[in-house]
Amino acid sequence: MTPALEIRGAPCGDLQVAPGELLAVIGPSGAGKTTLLREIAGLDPLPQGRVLLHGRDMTAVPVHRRGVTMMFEVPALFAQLDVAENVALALPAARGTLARDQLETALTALDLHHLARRRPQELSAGQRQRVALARALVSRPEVLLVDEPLAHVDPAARVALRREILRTHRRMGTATLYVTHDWAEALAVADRLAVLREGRFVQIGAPQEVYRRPRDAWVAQRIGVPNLLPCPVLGTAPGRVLVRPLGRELWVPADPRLADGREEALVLAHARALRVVAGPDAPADELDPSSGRILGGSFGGDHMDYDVETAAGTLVVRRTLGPGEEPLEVGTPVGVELVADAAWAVVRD
Amino acid sequence: MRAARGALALALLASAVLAVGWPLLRILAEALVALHAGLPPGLGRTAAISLALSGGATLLALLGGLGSALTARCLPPRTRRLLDAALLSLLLVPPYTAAAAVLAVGGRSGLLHDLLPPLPGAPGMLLALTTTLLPYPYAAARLAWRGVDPRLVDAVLVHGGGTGRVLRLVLLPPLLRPVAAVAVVMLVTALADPSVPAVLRGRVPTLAHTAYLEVMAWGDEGTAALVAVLLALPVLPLLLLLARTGSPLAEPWRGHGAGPALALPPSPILRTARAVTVLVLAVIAALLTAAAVRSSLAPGELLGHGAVAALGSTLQHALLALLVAVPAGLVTAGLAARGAPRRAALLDGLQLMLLVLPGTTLGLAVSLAYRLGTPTPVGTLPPLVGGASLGSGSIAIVLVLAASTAPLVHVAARAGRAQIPRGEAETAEVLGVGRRRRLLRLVLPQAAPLVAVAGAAILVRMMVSVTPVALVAAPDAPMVPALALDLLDRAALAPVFVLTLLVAITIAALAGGAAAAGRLR
Amino acid sequence: MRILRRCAALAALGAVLLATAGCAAPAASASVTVLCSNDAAICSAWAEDFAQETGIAVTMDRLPTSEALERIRRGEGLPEYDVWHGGGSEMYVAAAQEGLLAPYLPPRTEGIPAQVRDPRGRWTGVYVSFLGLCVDAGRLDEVGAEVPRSWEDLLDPALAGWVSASSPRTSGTAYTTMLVQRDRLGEEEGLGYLAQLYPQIPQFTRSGTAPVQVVAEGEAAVGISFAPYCDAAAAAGAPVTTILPRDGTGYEVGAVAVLADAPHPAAARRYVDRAVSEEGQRSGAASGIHQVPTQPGLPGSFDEVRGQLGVPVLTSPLEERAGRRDALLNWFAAEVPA
Repeated sequence: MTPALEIRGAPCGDLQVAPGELLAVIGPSGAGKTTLLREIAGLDPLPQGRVLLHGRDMTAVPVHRRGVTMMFEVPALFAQLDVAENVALALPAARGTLARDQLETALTALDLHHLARRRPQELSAGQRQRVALARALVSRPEVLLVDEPLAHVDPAARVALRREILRTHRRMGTATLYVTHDWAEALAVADRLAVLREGRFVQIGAPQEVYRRPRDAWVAQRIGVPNLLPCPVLGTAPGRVLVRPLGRELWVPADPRLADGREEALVLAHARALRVVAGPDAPADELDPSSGRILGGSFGGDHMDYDVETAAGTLVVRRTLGPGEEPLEVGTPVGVELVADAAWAVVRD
Repeated sequence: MRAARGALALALLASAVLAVGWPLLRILAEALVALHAGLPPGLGRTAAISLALSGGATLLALLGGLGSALTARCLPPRTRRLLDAALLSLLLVPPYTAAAAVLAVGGRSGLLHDLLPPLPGAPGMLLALTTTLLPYPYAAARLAWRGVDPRLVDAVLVHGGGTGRVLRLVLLPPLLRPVAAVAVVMLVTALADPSVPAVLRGRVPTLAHTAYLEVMAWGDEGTAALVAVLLALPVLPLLLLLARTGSPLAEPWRGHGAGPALALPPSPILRTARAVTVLVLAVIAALLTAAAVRSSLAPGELLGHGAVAALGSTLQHALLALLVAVPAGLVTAGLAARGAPRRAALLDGLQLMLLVLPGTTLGLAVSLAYRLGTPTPVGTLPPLVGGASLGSGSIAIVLVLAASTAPLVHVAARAGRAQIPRGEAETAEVLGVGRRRRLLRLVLPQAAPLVAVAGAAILVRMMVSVTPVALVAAPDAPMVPALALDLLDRAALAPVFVLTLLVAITIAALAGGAAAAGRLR
Repeated sequence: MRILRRCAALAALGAVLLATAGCAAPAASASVTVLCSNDAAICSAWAEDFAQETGIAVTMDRLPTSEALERIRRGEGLPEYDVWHGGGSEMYVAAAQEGLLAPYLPPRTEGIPAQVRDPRGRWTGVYVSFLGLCVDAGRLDEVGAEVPRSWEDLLDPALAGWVSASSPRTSGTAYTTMLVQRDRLGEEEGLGYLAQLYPQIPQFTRSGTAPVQVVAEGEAAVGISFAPYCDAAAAAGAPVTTILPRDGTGYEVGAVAVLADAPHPAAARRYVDRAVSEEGQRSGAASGIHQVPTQPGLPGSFDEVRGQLGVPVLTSPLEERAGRRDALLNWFAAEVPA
C-alpha cells in the first residue's frame, strides 16, 4: 500500500506513515520536531530530500496547495471571526451546501455547535484547541500534522482533548503525525513512535517496542528507565547476552548489535524489572553485590517504588503491595534481583 | 507646598491655553466674518485643486508606503532594515527639500529634464508631496505588523489559504485603524503645506500658498483666516476617531523584536508590492542623485548663505521651545493621569487637537494675532511676529514650536505611563521604591523606545517641519525654513540640499547622543 | 521652596538663551530699527557702515517692498520701525499719502533731482535702478529663441515657460514692470500686454531680485528685474547679460524715509542723513551691486546716465503711480492664477 506520507532522503532519515496510522514524533525540545512538521507542511523548505503524499512528490508544491493540514501548539484562531467562521476558513470558498454540511459535521463532531457564534477570546484554552481541531479536520485532509496540541491546555481538559483527537483521527482515517515531548502522551496515542534526537530519527517502532526495547541509553532515559547497569559481556547467544548484574550471571535479552563481540553492555531495567528481597531471604552478607538498604520510597497506590542503595548505585525498584501489606521502612536491609526477561541490554557508548 | 505647585501648574497651563487659544479663536471669528461677506472669487476652485492634489498624493503615498511595508515584512530582518532606513530617513527631509529635489530632477535644468514631461506645477507637487508622505503609511504598517503573530499566517497557509487570504485575515485587520488615522494626517499635511507650492507650484493655485500670500503680502486677512480654518477642517473626523478609539500611539511600543520574514506564497499582490517598492526606491534614488549632482556642481558656495547661523539659531529656538513644551506636556499628562476621566478626556482632547492641527493654521493664527499689538487688560502687548518685534520675532517662533511639540510630550508621557504593567508599578510601590528610582529603574527603561521615538519626533517637528515657523519668521530670520524658502525662491537648490543634510546630521547626532547617554545611565 | 528655586533657575536659563539668541529687547537709547527693502547684501552694507560711523546700533528687518508697506500699514498705532530704506518710491508715495511717513529734509538733499524726491521731504530717492531683461544667451540658443530686445519680444512663443518674474503681490519690481507697460501702451493695452506676458512665466518669484538668480541657476532664460542685480550676477561669473528693452524702460527710485511714529526719531534722522549723503549712497556699491546714485556729484549718477541709456525712459507722475496700486493688484489677483 502506498504510504499516505513519506519522507525520503531528508537529513532526519526516512519515514513513512500509512493511511489511518497515527505516528507520534517524540523528542526533547530543540530536537527539531516542529521544524520537521513545518517542512512536511511546506511552511519551511526541506533542506534536502523529498516529501511524498500518496506517492506524489510534493517537495516543490507551496504550502497552501499540498492538501496537508496542521494543528499548532497554539490554536491560531482569528480574533475577528467567530468559531464557525474560523472553522469554515479551511473550506474552499465556493462549495455551497457541501461545504455547509462539512462545517455542520465538524462542529457537531467536536461538540462546538453551541459555541458557533462565539469569538475565540470568549473560549477556554481547551475549547479553542477543539476549534482548531475542527478547523484542521473540516476539509477531510488525508494527512494531518499535529504539533504539541495539549501543551497549553490545562490538565483537566487535556485528557478529554487527547481522546477527541484520537477519536477523530480514527473516524476520519487520516494519516496523522503527532508531535509531542511528553512520553506518556506519545505512548498513549501512537500507533507507532518515531524518536527524534538532534534532527535525526534514532528509533522508529511500536510504542511497546520502544518502551521495552529502547535503542540506547539516551532513549531509555527519555522514556523513563530508571536503572542503567553497565556490565561486561561474558557471553553471547542469539538475541541474548550473558552478563553479571548485581552479582548474578544472567542471560538478558539484548540488542542484536551486542552480538558482534562488544565487551561492555548496558543493562536497562524498568523499576518493575527489579525485585526487592526482604526479610529472611535478604542476603546476610553486606559485601554481597545484590544487598542494599531502603533509602526511601514513593507510594503509587497498588505498589511502592523504593530507592535502594546498593554497591551498583541507587536503584529504583517496584514492589507490588499486597492487601494490608505495609511498605518497608527506611533503612531496612534488602536484596535486589534482576528479572532477566524484563530487562534489556544495549550497546554501551 | 503641594497646593502651591498645583496652582503654579494651573497658572502656567492657563496662560499657555490663552497664548495659543486666543489666536485660534481669533482666526475662527475672522473666518466667519469673511465667509459672511461671501467666498472670495476663485477660492472654491483653488480648494478643489488643493484637495485633488493632496488627495492624490495621499493615495499614491499609501500605495507606495503600504506596498513597501509589505515587501519589507517579507524580507529577512537585515535587508528589511535597509528598506526601513531608505524610507524612514525621508522623515528627515522637509517638504521644501523634496520639492527642490524634484526640481533638480525635472526642472528646466534638471538631471532628467530631457526625458520627463515638465515637472513644475501639479505633477511636481504631486511627486514632492508623495515623497514627503511616503514614510507615514510605511511606518504605520511596519509598526502595526510588528505584532502580527506568524502562526496566524501559518494557520491560513496550512488550511489552503493563499497570500490574498493572509492579507485579508492577518495583515489587514491590525492596519485599518492606524492607516485611517495616518491617511487623515497625510491629507491634512499635504493640504496645509505651503512650502511645496512655494517651490513647485508653477501656476497652479493652492490653498496653503494662497493663505501664505494673503497673510505675508498684498492680500486680505479675512481670506487668510478663512483658508486657515478650511485647512483645519479635515482633522475633525480624525479627532472623532481618536476620541472614540483612544490614542493609537499607546500600543505599538510594546517590545517586539524584529520578526522573521513572512514567507508568503507567490501571488500577484506580492509581485505588485515588490514592483511598487522598486519604483519607490527608484524615485528616492533619482531624487537623491539629482540633489547630489546639483550640490557637486558648485561645492564652493554650499556653506555660505548663513546656513550654519540658521542652524544654530534654529537649535537655540528649539531648545527654548523645549523648555516650555516639556513641562507643559508633562503637566497636562500628569493632570490627566491623576484627574477624573472627564478632565483626562478634556486634556487629551486639547492636546490631540493641537497635535493634529495643521502647522499652517497654527502659523497663520499666531502670525495674524501677534503681528500687531495685542490688547490685554493690563495694557497692549507689543508685536511678537517679525524681525523688529520684541525679541526679534523669537517669541512667536518659540511659541509655535512649543505649541506644536507640547502635544507630543503629552502623548508620549501618557503612553509611557500606560507602558508599565500595573503589577510592576504596584510591586514597586509596595516595596517602597521612591518616585525617582521608580522613574529611573522602572519607567524609563521600559518606555525607552517610546521616549526615543518621541524625542526624535519632537526634534523633527522642530527642525524639519516648516510651516508654522515659515509663517511667523521674517524672511531674513536665521531660521532654517525661512532661509531655505528664501534660497528656493531664487532656485538656489544646492545650498538647500546641504542645509537639509546639516539638519539631518544634527538630528541624528542629537538623537544618537541622547540614546548613548541613556545607555550609560 | 525647592520648586520656586527650580523655576527661578529655569527662568534664568531662559533669559540667557534669549539673550544669546540675539533676542534681547533693543536698548532704548543709541539704536535704530530699519525696515530694508533691498538686496540682503546691500541692506547689511548700509547697516554696518552706519553703525560703524555713528556707533548707533542698527536692527534691520528685510521685507520685499510690497510686504514692507503692508507691514507699516498694519503697524500703525504701535510702530516697530524708525526708518524705511530701499524699495520703489511708489510705495513711499502711498505711505506718505496715508500719513505713515514723517517729513524730514536731510542736509544733502538739494542736489538730488526733483523727480526722485518728495517735495515735502517725506521721502528722498537714494538710488535709481532701471528695469531690464536679464538674459542667458546660451540658454536662449538651446531653447531656440532669439535674444529678446524689447518687451514685445518676450511674447515670442519659443520663450513660453522660460521667462522669470516676481509677483506684484510681493514685489515692487513687479509693480514697476506693470507700470512700464501702462506708460508704454496706455491703460487698456498695457493690461492687454500683461495678460499676454504672464502666461509666459512658469512661476512667479516672491522677491524682485530672484529672477536674476533663477536665470543664473538655469531654471529660466530671461528674467525681468532691475539692471544692477543682473550686472552684479554677471560680474560674479553667471552667464547673464542685461538688456534694456528698446521699446522703453522704467526705473525704480529707491527711497529712504523716517516713519511717522518712529520710536527713535533722532537716530532715525541721523540714519537718513547718512543714507542720502554721498558716502551713504556709495555704501551699497561695496556689495557688488551698482545701483545708480541720485547724488549728482557721484560718478555714474542718475543725472549722468539718464540720457545715455539709448532707450526711452518712461515715467509717469509718482502720485498717479502710487494711486493705481490697489486697482492693478486687484486686477492681478483676480486675473492671474497663483
